[in-house]
Amino acid sequence: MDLTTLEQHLLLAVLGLHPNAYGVSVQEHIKDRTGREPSTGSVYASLDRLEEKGFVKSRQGEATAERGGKRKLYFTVTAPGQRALKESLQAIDALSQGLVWKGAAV
Amino acid sequence: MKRNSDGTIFVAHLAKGGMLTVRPLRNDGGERIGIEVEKEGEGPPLSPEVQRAADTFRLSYGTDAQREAYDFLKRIIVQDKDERHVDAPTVKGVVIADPPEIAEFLLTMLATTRGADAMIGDLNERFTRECKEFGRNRAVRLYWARALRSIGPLLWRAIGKVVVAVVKRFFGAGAA
Repeated sequence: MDLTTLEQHLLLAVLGLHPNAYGVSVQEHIKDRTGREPSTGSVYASLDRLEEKGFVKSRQGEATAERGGKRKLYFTVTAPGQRALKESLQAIDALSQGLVWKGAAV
Repeated sequence: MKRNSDGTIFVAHLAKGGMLTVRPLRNDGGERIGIEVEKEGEGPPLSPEVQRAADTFRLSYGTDAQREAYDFLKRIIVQDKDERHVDAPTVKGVVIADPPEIAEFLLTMLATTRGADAMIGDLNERFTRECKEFGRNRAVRLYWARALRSIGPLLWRAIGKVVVAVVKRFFGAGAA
């Protein structure tokens, strides 16, 4: 199963933040490590798609005052999700192995 | 009437900590709704004057509790020029920071995902934090920026779901 770059980032962030992966923490984790913050809408749209595929699971968390009484939604990566992520990253590794970085202006 | 998932009808964030919650006291067939105003979390306590106003309001009933709750809060809100966040209205020294309603409404309309409520909560969480950090004006601009950036992906997701549903309906369950 092919994963987009954002889906790879999301799965890696959810794995890295386990068991505290929810929207804000995932966005900030990705921003800290890649320098680019995905929009809130794209994070939830992609996580929704990943959940539909069975790659992540969500559970409702606590509603805090600063969230205006709205509950958090915590995500975890499922076994098929981990498998898909591993395959996807291995494909990138395989493609980049032995690559000679020539022709690029430095 | 708009209700949050936990039954509250109005929540005012207090940028110095805590929040004001307005929830229905009783509901007789949607006609007579009383409201309860309560301060939760940390932050300075409500002044006796505000508490008295809240107690008085508890006794009144209306058909549009949300509007009344909003009007009630407007009445007791005073602008405190000595506060750091002078652009934010305050209730006796407590800064109230409500996220922009139109942006929140737009996202609520577009979000068809299961996490729609959580997504609004995430935006609120960052808004509250940024109110304390940068003041309300900048926090509102950042909220709008995030909301506008979110419209595209949410819209595509919603369209995608509709297309899949239509394909499944006309070409059978195995088609999509």
